[in-house]
Amino acid sequence: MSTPELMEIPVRGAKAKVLVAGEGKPVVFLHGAGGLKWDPYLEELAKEYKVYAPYFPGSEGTKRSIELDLRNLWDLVLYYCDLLDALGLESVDIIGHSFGGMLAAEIASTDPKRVKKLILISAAGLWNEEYPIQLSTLTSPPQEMLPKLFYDVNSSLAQAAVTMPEDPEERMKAVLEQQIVLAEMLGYLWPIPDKGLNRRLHRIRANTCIVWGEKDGLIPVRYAYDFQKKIPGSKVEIIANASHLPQLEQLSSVLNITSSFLKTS
Amino acid sequence: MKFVYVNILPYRDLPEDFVDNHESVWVTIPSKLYDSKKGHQIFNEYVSQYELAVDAGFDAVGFNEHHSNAYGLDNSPNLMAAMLARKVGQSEKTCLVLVGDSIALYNPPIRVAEELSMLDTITGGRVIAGFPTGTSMDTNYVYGIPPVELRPRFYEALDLIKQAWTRSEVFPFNGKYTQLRHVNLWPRPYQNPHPPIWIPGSGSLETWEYCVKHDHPYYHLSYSGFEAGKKFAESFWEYRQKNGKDLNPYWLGYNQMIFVSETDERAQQDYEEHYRYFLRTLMHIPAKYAEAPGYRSAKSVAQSAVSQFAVHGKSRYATKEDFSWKNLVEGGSIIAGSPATVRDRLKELIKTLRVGNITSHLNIGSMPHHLAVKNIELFSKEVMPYLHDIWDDEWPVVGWPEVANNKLNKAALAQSSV
Repeated sequence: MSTPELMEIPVRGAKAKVLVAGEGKPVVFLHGAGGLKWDPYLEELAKEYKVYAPYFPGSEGTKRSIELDLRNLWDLVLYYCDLLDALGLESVDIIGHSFGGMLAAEIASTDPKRVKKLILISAAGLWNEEYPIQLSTLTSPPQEMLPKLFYDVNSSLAQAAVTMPEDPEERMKAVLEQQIVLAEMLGYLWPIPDKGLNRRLHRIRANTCIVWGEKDGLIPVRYAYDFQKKIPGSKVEIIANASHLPQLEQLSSVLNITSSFLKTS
Repeated sequence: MKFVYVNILPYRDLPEDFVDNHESVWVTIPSKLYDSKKGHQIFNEYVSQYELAVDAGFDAVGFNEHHSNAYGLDNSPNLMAAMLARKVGQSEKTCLVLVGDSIALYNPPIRVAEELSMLDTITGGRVIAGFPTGTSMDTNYVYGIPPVELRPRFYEALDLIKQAWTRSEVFPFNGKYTQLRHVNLWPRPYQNPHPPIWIPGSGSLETWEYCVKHDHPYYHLSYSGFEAGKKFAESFWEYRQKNGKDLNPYWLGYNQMIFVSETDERAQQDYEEHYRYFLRTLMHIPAKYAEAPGYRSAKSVAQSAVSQFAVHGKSRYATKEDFSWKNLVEGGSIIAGSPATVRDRLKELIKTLRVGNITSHLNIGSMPHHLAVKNIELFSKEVMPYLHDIWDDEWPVVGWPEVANNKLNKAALAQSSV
């Protein structure tokens, strides 16, 4: 696997960190509460595109929302717009996964001209009492959490997600990093993840593709259709044999969808 | 030496098999397990116990705040305190301790400043304020505060309340979480400038820093008892000393469960099953509710300080086989026995931990009213009077209303007026 470049971008007097790799048309990837890892999906994407994957504020040693004085979701969205400006991405394709999907949809609703194409993978941001997102899943012990996040809990992918470094110091670092990303994102999701996106989605002008694992155990697949109903002209792609991380669980299939969607005009 | 009577207000009638069939005693406990007639009865019994504690000469009666649980039914400490306020005001020296109000949950938090002013007014200055950050179950899971916002909200609320109590002009408050154009507190607190403020906490360094910087007594919220308390108290006093602060024991408050009976054996017979109910049932809280991500700062997580409610997904007390009564008593989780045993053990604790305030938990778990009354009476007649004068030859009282002053306070006052 190639190593992406870690760029440090000055935004609002602090340094944002962004992983960048590949050549070609730029595409932004916004990660979810599991944190940013340079995974096979991004690696493959970087063979065709120039991928920009920012770390969420607080992760990888960057300043947390409170330190950046981001007091609410609106502040956060405008912070990301500033970051995209700093990267020279005035209008760009954005892929967002889970919380990153919510963030991408918020950016595209707030600043519709900013986003050309939008791919939402298992996105947070909506709420329905009949099939609620259980945030407490994310704080449950691994044996309870894994079946909600992975279609196959015995897959190497699932096992890798709960394997921690042996070295105690590395281990503590990894635990803290995981905790910080989750805590910082939960700050925007708590206690009910719809912060008004539902009333803003109609503003999206981006060509939108909604990708969802058929068996998503964290954000049920019915939300895919809820997003579709609200986003003008959007389409849905349901991925069989996948839960909350379809882009990794069914890499080639999601990659094909991504690639052909980004290519269409 | 000061003793505060505290009753968490447990719901004492959960079924035997509760732990096997329900995930948690907090947050998601089904309301069908609550019987309103029993609730009516126990609430009235609990208020009677508080009244008894005032008559029995406790230095204070204290109240907590919890939500959506059977562990402690006190949703509103100020409401409970209000029921006792007249009696307290007319007593010889008893005060009200709110240990306390989860100020991050009030919107606007000025409400707490107002209510405590009212209580302070009606009691003629007998109120001690206590402001905890609150448990993750209460604040995050039930009251919906995002975990990472809890502490910033708490400190902002504390700042607002202190300003409201101390500033005499009408002023605007432009906070991150609360914006008020006109802060203008009526009535004012009876005490000048305001009731003493204790900060309850469970050992996090940030809280000590705050207490030392602002001269607030620290009240250690733990049920782990004497042995575990030694290490904690040692570092607490070391921390104060390092920061150039005095070692007056009244800067520290400590939680202790106490069971007094005629003899040591009788104490076990009387109280064990009721304490077991507390351990087994009322502490049945899964890790996922005990600590939402962001509830503690990364710094505290790194120190691996563990929430008193969360150890490996279950209450640390969940397996009853692990802890014999003998172990629990010897390890100091509880102080139990005859009046003489309890006196000796408590004295040792007070001296060893260097603690000036003990919040005495005397109604615990499923204890029926008559046993709680027995415990309160034996403690107040056979134990408390023998320990009351500890420290008073050495240290003036700090962090209490004037009525609680000792001879050293009075001597200092006389000296300064000469």
